[in-house]
This record gives sequence, structure tokens and C-alpha cells, in this order.
Amino acid sequence: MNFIFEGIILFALELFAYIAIYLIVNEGLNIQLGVTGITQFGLVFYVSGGAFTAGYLATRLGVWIFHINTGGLDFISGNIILTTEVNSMTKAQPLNGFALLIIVIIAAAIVGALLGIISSVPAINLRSDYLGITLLAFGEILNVFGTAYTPLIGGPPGVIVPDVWAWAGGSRFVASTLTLMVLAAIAYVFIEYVIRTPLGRTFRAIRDNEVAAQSLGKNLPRCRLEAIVIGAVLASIGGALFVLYAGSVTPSFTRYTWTFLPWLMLLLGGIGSNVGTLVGTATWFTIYDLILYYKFYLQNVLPFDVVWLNYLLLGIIVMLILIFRPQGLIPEKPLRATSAAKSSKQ
Amino acid sequence: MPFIAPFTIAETLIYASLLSLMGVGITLLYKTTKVPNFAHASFVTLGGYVNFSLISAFHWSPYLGLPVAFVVVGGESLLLFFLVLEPLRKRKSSVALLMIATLSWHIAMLGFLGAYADSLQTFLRVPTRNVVLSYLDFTLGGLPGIFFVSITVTVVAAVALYFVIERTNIGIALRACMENQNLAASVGINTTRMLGLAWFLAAGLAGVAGALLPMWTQLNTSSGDTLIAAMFCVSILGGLETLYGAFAGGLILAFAQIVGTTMLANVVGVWVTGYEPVVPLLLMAIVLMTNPKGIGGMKVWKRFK
Amino acid sequence: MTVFEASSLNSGYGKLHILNDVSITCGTGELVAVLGPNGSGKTTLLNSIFGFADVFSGTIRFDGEDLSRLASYEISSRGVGYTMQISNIFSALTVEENLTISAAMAHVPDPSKNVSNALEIFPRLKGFLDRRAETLSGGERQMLAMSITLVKSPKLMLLDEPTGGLSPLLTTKIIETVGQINRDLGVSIILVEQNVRKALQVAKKAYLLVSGRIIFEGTPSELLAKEDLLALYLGAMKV
Repeated sequence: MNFIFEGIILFALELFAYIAIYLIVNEGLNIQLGVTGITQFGLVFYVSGGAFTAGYLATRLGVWIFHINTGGLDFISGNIILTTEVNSMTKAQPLNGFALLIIVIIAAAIVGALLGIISSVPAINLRSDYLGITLLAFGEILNVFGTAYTPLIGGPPGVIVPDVWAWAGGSRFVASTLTLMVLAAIAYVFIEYVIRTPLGRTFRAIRDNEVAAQSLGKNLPRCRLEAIVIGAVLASIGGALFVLYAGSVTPSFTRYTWTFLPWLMLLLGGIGSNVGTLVGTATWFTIYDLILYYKFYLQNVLPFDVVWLNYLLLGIIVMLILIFRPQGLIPEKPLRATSAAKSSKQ
Repeated sequence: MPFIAPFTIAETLIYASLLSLMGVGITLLYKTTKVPNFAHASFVTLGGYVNFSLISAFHWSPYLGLPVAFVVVGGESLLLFFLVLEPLRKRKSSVALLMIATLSWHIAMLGFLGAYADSLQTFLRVPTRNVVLSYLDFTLGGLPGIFFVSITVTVVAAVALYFVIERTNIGIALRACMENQNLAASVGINTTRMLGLAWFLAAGLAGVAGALLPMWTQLNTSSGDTLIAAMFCVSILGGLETLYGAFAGGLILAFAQIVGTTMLANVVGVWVTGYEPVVPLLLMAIVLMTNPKGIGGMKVWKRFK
Repeated sequence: MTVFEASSLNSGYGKLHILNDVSITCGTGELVAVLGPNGSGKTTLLNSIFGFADVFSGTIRFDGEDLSRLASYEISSRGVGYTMQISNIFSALTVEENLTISAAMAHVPDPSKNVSNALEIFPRLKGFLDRRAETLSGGERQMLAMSITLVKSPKLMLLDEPTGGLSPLLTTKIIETVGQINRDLGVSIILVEQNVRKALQVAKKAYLLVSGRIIFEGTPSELLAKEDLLALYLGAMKV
């Protein structure tokens, strides 16, 4: 009995961990796509950026801040040995783990910002269709580097990263999920706050009516840049957290998992609405776990791998949403108008 | 200048041919339906598996399946167009939504193709991943048959396309739709049917490219995904003003990617070849950011009109 | 005999309501002028007939058939031709291709004959057949636009400001040609015009459309007698 109970708890913990990670990534997409109207088809660019940053830096940073003697070992070939040594430090003291976590997050944020700036160059001048293609192209780049440049994350096999929650011992999953949920809550509140600032209102103005936004005297390219950078930072942090949670990283961040699925979650919940992002993410994972549950039974019956049903179903779900309920579950509520521009629009 | 083996040139021309067949469809669809079609990736893959199925199940000669691939993929694209895109277009949906619709269709097709490939493997007991069929090819003067077939097919397609578009009434109607759909409707052109035709042609050509693919390189359910960036690159390089630009775009990208990387490898080392997939991405980004009209839009082409 | 009738038409674009309870009729072989100040909804009226505007309520009947059920290209094949105000030619096609495709889509027995007939009415175009339409001057474009419609041997022609932006000389020529088409070919015409005097010279019936409503229906001489209306709404245009 205990055994089944444990299984359910673990399942729930992992579910919430993934919801939290995706919520952070999705908030990144939301501020770009939902709020500012940028056709972001390359979210995976920032996610993989953060993920690879974690993969590259986590062990190195651990070695550095804990003053571990590497004995001349290379971080790729000696990955397992060195990571294990870092783990013994994070196991000893929660503060060690959190210190490493925070530094990795900051590093990922910096990388995300840089990637955001790079990818914003096309966003400034291209219209949505060209922009979508360009960003899609950007999205593919890091996987190529990750695969071809072994010193980054060890090529196709990847590397493992330290467990920043090793101090929790048997309750590692409780600690990690709680941390992630706190971070996700912070991200959510942060974006909610941004939306309500004058900057956030400008973002919406850009999405709804560029000409009007321009006439208000706002520097459009600059604002777009800011929206992209904020979103990129969040998506990058999400990617780093994903790697830290999973314990390893490989150059396999696909368009499907990190561009299409976030879109799906946003469409499901309602583009633009922040609550919608939350609802969409949570709803999606509920549906997904139901699918997983039935997958188990179907696996034996079908002559093909059940994962293909995922793709088929998801593609169809999004098309159905687009055709029948493009506004999603939670349509965007107009914010309480405080600026003249907003109220004159009403 | 470093020596480029004739074999490399042959590879480049094969790649250029396949790219052109894929890219011209993207341009055609963009000009008519005003949407970059992400589902093009699965059009190619589907074409590959249609041909592969015919070869594995019925032992067809590898090139006989080309017309079948053309028709099947062309027909499949009509499903996407009429079931998904038309309802959205009628509702005047934004380009972003249309794009995500094509991406969703692609994802669904990935699932379908994956399931299909798995099932085929179960029932026919042949491997359906990393499919390579070059062993079935003929040789002529030391060169593989795919070299002659792909170039011929591409040239024929280009000529046929030119003839239809420039010299027939259907072509005029298509060009009219590309320019102004309301006006086209007001002179009695059934724009929906014209667009359907455009989709059928574009997807058909992509299907043919896919059918040829395993004669040259591996065919996987992910083949389309791997090539989609190159397809868009070709379309953009060729410029979206003119259809035929994609053929030039195919040549340029193929040379840059294969010959260019080879030459670069001779200079800086073999490690460069791992970064080959970046070439289309970079080219595309550069063109889009400096001159979105691509080569087809540049003044030089106006003189040739 | 009434060949065209719009009754209690309410239409616009999306949430924008432009026409209010508009009713107009056009008889067989009749030339009807629709006049009014800028923004009164004249183009919307024509757009509504062809399905390019959203019809909220009311009926549109041509030859007894309800047009709102038909797709735009089907309306064309019923014998209704529409020369729009702007973007009314295919600039990327040659003049000849513009005419050929319109004739071909019209299901007439001899498309090339229709093309040569149209060229008789606008002989100026004969010299430009191989040129891309975008190279034509303003007046030539208008001629081409009208030819594209003529070439279909329509029963009813909708003309939206065919003299827009043209010199007085060309304006006279175009309006004369419009009258000629109506008299000699028996084509029913709904003519939307800014040039009041010229339009009333060829029209048999006139409507005054202001802010989406018909405020006058009658003969040209009746309208010309209403000094107050002319001054108020058409004053600036009483050229």
C-alpha cells in the first residue's frame, strides 16, 4: 500500500515540477507572443541556450565555488567524476546547493539576454511571416553547436550536471518540486507585474495596433527588444532548470518540445491572458498525463510506438483550437484602463 | 584553389535539384496563400515513404513511384488546405495563426508517419528508419542514376511550370490570384480552386523530392524536419517575387553548403563539416535581414522580365 | 423591367456599420447614378453586391436571384461585372492577359471576339497589348479596368468612380463611353460617381447616398432642381 502511495506522490511531484518549468518557459513566450504579438517560432533558441549554459557551467561553477581540485581532469571526459565531487558538496549543505542553483540561474539569465538581443535584430524590421521563419531558423542553431562542438556539452551523449538538491536525500523530489514551484510563482508574478507597467501597456499597444503605438511616441524597436529579452531570459532560465531537474543535458532540444508545445499551452489557455498561460499549462499537463495513462494500455495493442499518437493528437488538438476556439479557455480581459490611449480606444 | 572532386559537384547538383523542387513549392504557396508552410517538411517525408512503400511492398523500380508520390502528397495537401486553412482564411485569421496551423498539421503528420513507419516495419519486416535505397540505382558513366534523374526531373518541372504559368489561361489565373484575390474573384476566377491547384502542385513537387531522397541520402521520418530550414532558405534566396528564383536558390544553397563547406574544411580542418546544418540558417538570416526580397527581387531580374 | 434590386440593405465591414436600410433598383438597360459625398458608403454598396463587404441584413437580387448566397466568382458568372475604384487591374499581367483571362472566365462563346470588341471601344489599348499593365498611365488603366469588365458581356456593370483622378478631357471621354455602352450595347449600369454633372448627363435615374442612407431617388432633372441638396452634399463637386 505504501508502495503505491509513494508512487502516486512521486508522480504528482514530477507533474508539478514539469508544470513549473514549463510555466516559466511559457511566461517567456507569453510576454513575446501573447502580450507583444511577436510571432515567436524559435523559442527553443533561448531554452536550449539556458540548458546548455547549465550543462556547461554547472559542474565548472561547482568546482570553482567549492574549491574542488580537478586534478587536471577535462570537464567532458571527467564529467562523471567531477560532477560526483560537486554533488558531495551540495549533499553536505543546503546552502551549497542553493548557491549553485542561483549562480546557474543568473548565468542562464545572462545568456538568455544575449540570445534575446541577437534574435531581436531581425524582429525589429521583419513582418510576422518572415520573422517567424527567421526565428525558427535561429531555434535550430544551438542544437547544431551542441552536437558538433564537443567541449560545450559533450556532443550527442551529453553530460550530467550536479544535483543542487542532493542535500535533501530521500526527499530530493519534494525539495526540487517545491523550489521549482516557488520560482514559477515568481516568474508568474513578475510577468503579471510587467504587463501592468507602462512598458507592458506599450507591449500590448504594439500587438494591437502598431501605427497607434508609434504615434504615441514610443520607440518601437527598443520596446520589441525589451519584450524579446525579457521572454528570452525566462525561457533560458526554464531551460537551465529543466536540465538541473533532469540531472543531465543532451543536444536534443527539439522544435516540438520547446516551440510547439509552449504554443499549444498558450493557445489552450488563451493568448495574451496571463491567467490563460497558467491555465493552459496546467490543463495541458493534465491532458498529457491522461494520455500517458492510456498509453500504457495501448502500447501492447498497437503495432507502433505510442509516442506517435502524442504527435497526432496534439497536432489535431491545436488545429481544433484554432478553428473552433482561437481565443482559448480564458479570453483576455481588458485591463482596467488608466491611460488616455486605452480609454479612448474603448 | 583547392581541388573539388567531380563527385562533390555531382552531389551538389543532386542536392540543388532536390532543394529546388522543395523550395519552389514554398514560394508558390507563399505567393498564393500568403503563408510560410511549415507542413512542407512532412510533404517531403510523406513522398519518401510513399515511394519506399511501393518499393518494399511491391518491388517497384525506384523511379516508377515518382508520379504516385506526386499525386498522393498533392492530395494530402488538399486536406490541409480545405479542412484547416480555408476555414481560418475565411475568418481572416492572422498569418501567425495560419503558420501555427501548418506547423500543427506537420506535427500531426509526424505522428502519422511515425506510426506508419513503425507499422510497416512490423508487417513487412523491413527496416523503415535510416532507409537508403541507392543500391537499387543504376549507374551511367560512373555516376549514380539519381544524378541524372534528379536533374532531369527538376529541369522538366521548371520548364513545365514556366509553360503552365506563363502560357496557359490557368497560369494567368494563378498569377492573377497571386496579385489580387478580390479582383480575381470579380473577374470570375474561382480563387479557392486556384489555390487548391497551387497546393496540389507545390506539395506534389515536394513529394517527388522526398521520393528521390532515399536514392541519395537517408530517409527518416525526421527527414523533412532536417530539411525545412534549407527549404525556406532556398525560397528566400530565390526571392519571393518570382517563382523560378527557387531554382537559383537551390543552386546557391547547395553550392554554399556542400562545396563551400568542403573548401572551408580544406582550409581550417574537417571539424567544420559538423556545422554544415548552420549554412542554410545563416544564409537565410543574412538575406532576410539585408534584403528580404532575395535575389529574385533585385533589380537585375526586372530586366529579364 | 427591374434587373437588379437591393432592398433594405444594411452592410459594413466587421463591426463597422456603413449602409443603413439602403434600397435601390436598376431596370434592364437602365443607367443609374449613385452620388454622394466622400465616405457616404458608395463603394460599400458596390462591395456588398459582390460579397466584398459584410451584409448584415437585407436582400440583393439580380435577375431574380439572391446574390448573397453566391461566392464572388459565381456572381461574376451570372453576368454582373464590377470595375473597382482602385487595384482594378492586374499590374503583373500584360494588357492582353488581363483581357484574356477575364474573357476566358466569362463563359462566352467566343472569348477572343469579346476581347477585340472591347478593344474597339477603347482603341487606345490596342497599342499596349504586350505591355505589363503596371506601365499604363492613369487614364489607360481606367480604360483597361473597364475593358476587363466589358469583355465579359455583362448584363449589369458596376462602375466605381471610373473618372477618379483623370483630366477633364479624359473624364468626358470616359463618361461618354459609359453612356455609349449603355445605349448601344444595352448594358444596365450602376454608376458611382463624384462628377455629378457628367453622371447626370448619361443617367436615367439618380440616387443620393449620404452617411449610409438614401436621401433622394429620382430623375436627373429632379435632382438638379433640388438646389438645397446639391449645395449641401454635392456643392463642392458641382463641376
